[in-house]
Amino acid sequence: MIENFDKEKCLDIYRLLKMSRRFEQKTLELGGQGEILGSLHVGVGQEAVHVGIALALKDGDITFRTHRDSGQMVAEGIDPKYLFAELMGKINGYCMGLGGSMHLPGISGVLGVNAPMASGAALAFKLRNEKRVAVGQYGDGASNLGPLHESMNMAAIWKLPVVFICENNGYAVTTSIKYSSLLENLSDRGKAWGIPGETVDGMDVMAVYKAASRLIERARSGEGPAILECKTYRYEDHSKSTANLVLSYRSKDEIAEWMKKDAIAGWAGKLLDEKICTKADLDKIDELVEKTIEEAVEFARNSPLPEPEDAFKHMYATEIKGIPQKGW
Amino acid sequence: MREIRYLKAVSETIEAEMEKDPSIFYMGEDVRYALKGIPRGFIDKFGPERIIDTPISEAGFTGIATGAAVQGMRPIVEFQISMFCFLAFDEMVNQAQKLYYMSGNRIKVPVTYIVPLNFGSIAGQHSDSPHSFMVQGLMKTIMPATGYDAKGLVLSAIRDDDPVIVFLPAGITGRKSDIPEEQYTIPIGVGDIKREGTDITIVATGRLVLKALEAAENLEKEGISLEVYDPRTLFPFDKPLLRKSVEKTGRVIIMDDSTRTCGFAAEVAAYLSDECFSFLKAPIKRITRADVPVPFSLILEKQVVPEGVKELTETVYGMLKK
Repeated sequence: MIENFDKEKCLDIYRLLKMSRRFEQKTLELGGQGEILGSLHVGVGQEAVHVGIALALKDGDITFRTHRDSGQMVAEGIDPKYLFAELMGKINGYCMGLGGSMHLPGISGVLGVNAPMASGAALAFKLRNEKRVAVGQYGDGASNLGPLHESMNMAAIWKLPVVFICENNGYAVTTSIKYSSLLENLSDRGKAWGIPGETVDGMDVMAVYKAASRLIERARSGEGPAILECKTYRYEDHSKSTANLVLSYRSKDEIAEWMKKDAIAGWAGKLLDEKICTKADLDKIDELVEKTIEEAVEFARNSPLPEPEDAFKHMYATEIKGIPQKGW
Repeated sequence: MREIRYLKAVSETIEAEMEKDPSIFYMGEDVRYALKGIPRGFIDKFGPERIIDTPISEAGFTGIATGAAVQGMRPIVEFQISMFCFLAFDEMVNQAQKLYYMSGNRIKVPVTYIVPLNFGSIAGQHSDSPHSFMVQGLMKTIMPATGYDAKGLVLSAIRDDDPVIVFLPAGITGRKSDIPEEQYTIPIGVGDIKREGTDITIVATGRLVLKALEAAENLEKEGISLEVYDPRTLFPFDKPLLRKSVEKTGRVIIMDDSTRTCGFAAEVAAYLSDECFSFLKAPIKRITRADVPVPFSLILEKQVVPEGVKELTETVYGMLKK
């Protein structure tokens, strides 16, 4: 047992960490081969945050994730085959090929809006007396955006059931958070809104899970919002396109230092050290993960493309004759 | 029928719908005290849970409304002054408006934005007419010219499953007219011929509809017959109705309070030249806000914002060579 998790659950946490990472690595691989178009922003290295949050959620809770959190969708239980299909622009993709990697539901490609969106969802829960919680995620980069601060203040004064989780991976593209904020811990900003703020090791899945779980349950019980900062790191560059630029804003040594704290290696080591499972158990999961990912990719590859006319079919929920217009 | 003010018509349709539909809440700055005159007395009836006063945080509360709508509520968001829309532009045009499409129709955002328009010696940052920005953002955009239209269109906006923005024109929301007590809807995207005529089609929006009617009344005495077409909905505007009118008159003057460049009038003119060119007997004319910020001094403001009747009458004379 680790925390309240038995062997089976401990192994499942390992599986989720692995799925989250392998899914994202696979997207990069497919992107490199030209099978996935457009940009990709992977959170490889940040799996402890993604899985820690997923574990802390209860049925009916909702997350508003960042553009770097598609691995979290997998950890939350969304079948990766629909995500691969979406990234390949296929009709049975998660958004019918209309959104792509930066616009999956619950993900925003524009930074800082997740905090207002999650606060709004929390407002809906509160107005309907539902015991649900919304999680609004943002990065260190988005932490300096106005709408985020505005909504945190409103969530605070209205005591909304929302938890703001900051994935501080140290860099907004090339800009270090040490440059863009004087604070050591971004969770200190909770003081500005009169709400609690905590900082945890974002490379440790149990640390994230425990803190997220406690703050989510606190919000559920009506005590209002909180900020949880998870200090983490992305191993890959900002995006598929910036990777080609080879910008030297961080050192190889720095990346190597963070990799020593790797969430997956850390969790696997813990399971073995505490004799929860054997190496063979983990290998079996690795195989299962590879198989699941390969099958998901095959599903996506074999999926049909949308019909050209589908570009015009899905614009309005309440349709009006004459719109949308075509461009020529 | 009874005579009530335009603003009262808006107010009573929202009130009646809020009684019926618990998923509606009304949010904005100073709404408990109904500073802009719409949710008057609502706080006593619906309480602070549904009449939500916000801090001065336009981007934040507009985003919050989107989040609530995504989770099944039908928020009504009031902007105290129309230019405050600019602070929430991303939340409206880039988020609320796009989510349904981008999500592959997984997410609906049934929000109504209520935006009172202003001008009249309040200048620059308090006198813009931002409706054309919203039209270009493909947001369903409504600008009712009468209390009757406002009552029916606001109800359609609330019941619509997409975000809809309602602009309440400056200077006319205190006008009284006969308005039915019962609830009714006017479909979004359906225009109205406010006055039939044969010589020129006047396309007018918001307050300028009333100016066009006034000019038409005057010019009738001189034997000039104007047809006044009120699109009521600016996006999408009623093309078949306009086409029918222009087919009859062959001449068009378009009046709108947004800027000349890329304003709503430009879009209407572009449509007419694309699809109604063969009916036209004269070049299309536009009467719009000039391409400068609205100046403060009244003598200058009159150079920039059309009064309406005067400019229209002159343009009619020019077009008919009188």
